[in-house]
Amino acid sequence: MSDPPGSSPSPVSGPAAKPVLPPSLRRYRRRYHSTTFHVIGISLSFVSVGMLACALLELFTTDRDTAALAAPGAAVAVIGVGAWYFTAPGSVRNRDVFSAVGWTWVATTAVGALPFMAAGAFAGGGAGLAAQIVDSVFESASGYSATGSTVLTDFASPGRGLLMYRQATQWYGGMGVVLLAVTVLPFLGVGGLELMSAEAPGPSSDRLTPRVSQTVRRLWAVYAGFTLAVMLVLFAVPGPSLYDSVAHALTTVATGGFSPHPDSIGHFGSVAVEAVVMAGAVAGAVSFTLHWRAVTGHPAYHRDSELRTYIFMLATAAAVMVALLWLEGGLELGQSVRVGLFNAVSLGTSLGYSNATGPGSAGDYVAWVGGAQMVLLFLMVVGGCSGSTSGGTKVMRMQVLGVVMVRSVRRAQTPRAVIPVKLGDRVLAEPVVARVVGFFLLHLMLVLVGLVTLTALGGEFETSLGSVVSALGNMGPALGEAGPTANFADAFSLPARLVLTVLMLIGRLEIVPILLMFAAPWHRLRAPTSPRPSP
Amino acid sequence: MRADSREPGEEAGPPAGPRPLGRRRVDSWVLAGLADAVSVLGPVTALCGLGGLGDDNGDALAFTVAGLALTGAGLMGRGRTRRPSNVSPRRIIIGIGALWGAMIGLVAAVYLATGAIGRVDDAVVEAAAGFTTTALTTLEIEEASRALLLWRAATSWVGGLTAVVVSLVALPRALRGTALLAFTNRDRWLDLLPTAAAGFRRLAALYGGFTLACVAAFLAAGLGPTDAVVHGLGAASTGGFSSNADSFAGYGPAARAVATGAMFAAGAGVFVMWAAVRGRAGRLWRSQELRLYLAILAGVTAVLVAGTDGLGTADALFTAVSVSSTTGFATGEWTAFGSAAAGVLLVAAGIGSMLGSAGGGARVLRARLLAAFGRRELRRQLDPHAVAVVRHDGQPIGDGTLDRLGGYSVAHLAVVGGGGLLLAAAGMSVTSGVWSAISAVSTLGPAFGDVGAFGHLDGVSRPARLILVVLMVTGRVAILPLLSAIGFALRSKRVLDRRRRRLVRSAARRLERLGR
Repeated sequence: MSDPPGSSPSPVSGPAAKPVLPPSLRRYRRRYHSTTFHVIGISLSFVSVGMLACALLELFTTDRDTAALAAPGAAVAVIGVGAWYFTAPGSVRNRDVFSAVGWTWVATTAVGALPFMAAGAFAGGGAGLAAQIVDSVFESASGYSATGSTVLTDFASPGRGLLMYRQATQWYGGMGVVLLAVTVLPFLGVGGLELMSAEAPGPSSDRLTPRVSQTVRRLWAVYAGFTLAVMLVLFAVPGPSLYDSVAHALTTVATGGFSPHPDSIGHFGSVAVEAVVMAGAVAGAVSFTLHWRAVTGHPAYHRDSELRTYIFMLATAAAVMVALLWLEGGLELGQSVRVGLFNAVSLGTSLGYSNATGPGSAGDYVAWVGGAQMVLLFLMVVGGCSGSTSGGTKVMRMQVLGVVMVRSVRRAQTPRAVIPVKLGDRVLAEPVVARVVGFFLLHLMLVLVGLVTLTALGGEFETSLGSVVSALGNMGPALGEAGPTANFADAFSLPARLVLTVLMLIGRLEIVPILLMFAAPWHRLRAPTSPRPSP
Repeated sequence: MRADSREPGEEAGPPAGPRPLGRRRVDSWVLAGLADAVSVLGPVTALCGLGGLGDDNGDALAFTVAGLALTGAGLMGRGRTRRPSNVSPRRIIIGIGALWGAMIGLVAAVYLATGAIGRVDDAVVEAAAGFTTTALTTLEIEEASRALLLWRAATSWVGGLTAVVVSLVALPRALRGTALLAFTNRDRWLDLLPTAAAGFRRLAALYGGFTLACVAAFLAAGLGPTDAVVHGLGAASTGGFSSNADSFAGYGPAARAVATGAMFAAGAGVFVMWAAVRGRAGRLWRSQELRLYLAILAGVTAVLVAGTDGLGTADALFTAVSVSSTTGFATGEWTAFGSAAAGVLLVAAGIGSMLGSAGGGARVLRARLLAAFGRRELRRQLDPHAVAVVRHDGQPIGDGTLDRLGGYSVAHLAVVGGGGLLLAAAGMSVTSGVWSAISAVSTLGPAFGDVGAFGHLDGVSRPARLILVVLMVTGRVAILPLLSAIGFALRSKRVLDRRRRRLVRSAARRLERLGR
């Protein structure tokens, strides 16, 4: 993965290929050592492929925003490949990894906003340049973080290619998260997969093979396979066209939630489509390591306590919501089952699709009784399993927190008792437990800070609370005025949308990388004489 | 409210007080505590009854009789109970919960017996609100007699005193120095509690003296005697009960200023009062907790002034202090201030008052330490081998204490989250459910949504009121007793099942033998 394009072939790889670049430029290959710029280069190179592919789609379909996709795509490709080619990975201390991960997501979000800007997707209603920039960045962040909140109000003007690019951002986001969860976060001890390795049998449940690159390839194969499967099944059921099937498949397994239709899945009004989407979202919300084991003939689903807890939680939440909607919400039983189950899965997997057909319809959960909305808020906080594409605080962390809570009670009763924290049959190391509690506290602090900031910027209380939780959990729709049939552009002011953009990125990267992404540059500023490897 | 003067490990001496001839004393930590509490509550009730003479003599007489009866019962209970010398922490923790439950039941019984409240559930809500110092009510205040108003305020005063004693004397002994108090008490200027008995005496004197000072200040600010006593008791205990349906809305700036000062001091807690009384006020600035408390108040006031049209600084400060100290007095319908107020006041209510106060909430000290805990984990992410120590007032905090704090805060949030869920299921909106749950667990009372700034439960369904009772008691008694009680109940059920099975087996064996 870290081999740059144009690198010299190894002696065993066959005859030497003709170098693409002139010798004057080749001199600078891998000259500059920077982990951050190297990873950014790789990421932008991948993203540019998506932009250019969508430009081709636009060219052969609506041909309205071809240039808006092609020009940024080409520019991003040049920048990305250039950064990849001319830089080499430097040191990989923790602060460098945080810096690389955080700045990569920021850079990707920034360049991801260019097609929206160039197409004028948010120029409607006489919006100024600042508003267009903020909305484009919001939409891009919502895409690459696989959140699904949108400020796009006019779905008719953008071409099919631009709308597909919007879908693709979420697919990239989901893929990046799988990569992050498997390679980077366990190394840093913040991703939750180290918990999985503590629980699952065998010493290397997080890495399926000794080589990280091989593990990543396998997991991406699973990810792509699920996407393809969802696409085929969606195309097979009555309703969605090929375009719709591809567009929704890209965001279903990624648990993103963007749709090219303003009324989301409610556009189809089909139970079959909703069932397919629910199955795809649940697959995306389960650890991809488990999926790989199942694909290779070693199904470990039934032995995974996180998955069992997750399924139990989803089923219980759905049952409670169905009961509340049926008994108190004034809906018929069949309707209650349909909308209750779909929305439980949609928000419990951090997907964020809606099956509402309009404001106040049965699927519009902001019109539901308070109890059902509180269940949804709970699901938003928890999210899916660790190692999946979904957001939230993750089920495994909640399991650990529950055990920590019980332990504190037992320790109060017997102060000198040594009580280990167990998950399944394995005992968790105390640093891991402290990290989980620390993560939870940081999450809580961010929710409170976000709530105070959004309400101070004029957001309505319930809307702000739901939106902060939704943004940090990468859910998509929120509560109140930012519900499934509403638009964030109407619910929040421009500065508030900027705050939500930051929260989406923080939530996607599990808080720590974004908070510590300035550590490496700061350290470099403080120690400018650190030795630099010679080229 | 007699505290056990023996230190842990000390031999049990002869029981104090008159010993009835030929009667055996019951060794029970809970019953002894209940007798102590009743023997304080009884005279207070009788005084309230006497204070109500001349307004509604029927009510006054009823409360006087009830007070005398309680006094007699309390004295009799003190004579017949004795604290066992060795009690396990588990039993003390569960006993605290049981004691609180018994007191609420007793107060509710007085409400019903005197005819002040007709419905059992309303009486339980009113008793729980009073005894947990939460400013919620089901009463029509304008129609209440003077004796009832005084008694209602007195329940919150006794509840506040009990809360301070339990949190500063009983729980630290039960937890054997693992409570937050353990390291707070080590500080040089916090020598309030050298022993349990001396600590109890000093706490009672501080609390009583502060209450008298509040009443005198309210009298000087122009309030009538009844209003001054009711508001003095409400401010000192952070109970927030008022003799007016619109709380402080009808009072002038002087009364509001006195209330602001009284609520601030009550929220700052007995450690700050003790330092001031001992002439060590200059050292108070070294307290990180006090500085954070002041910063919170300043921040909340600033947001309220900036985010609410036409709100003066004095009223904003009043509201900020009222919510942060979890008292619940109001100068107006602050739930109509807007969303900026809703957000910042929710955080203030959740954090609550300082350690050593009769107020509730997560406590300023806990919030500070939890923030430091989060910062330490961030530091450790950067360098896993770094030695990162969390300090408070210059003293390092051990990993064990931080671990317990983490567990406690998770439990606290679980109770708030579960409470919000249940309240919403009982008919509240999301805003109302979240706010009411946090407000009840923090023993504040007023909340955005259905409850409002004056804490009247007219618009709240009866199931939701009972959920609020559970949340108030949980927040007041602290989470530990509740969870311990649940664990104890589950364990007891297992033990009972085991005994039943053993009995069945032995009976079967006997029958078999008889058959032979």
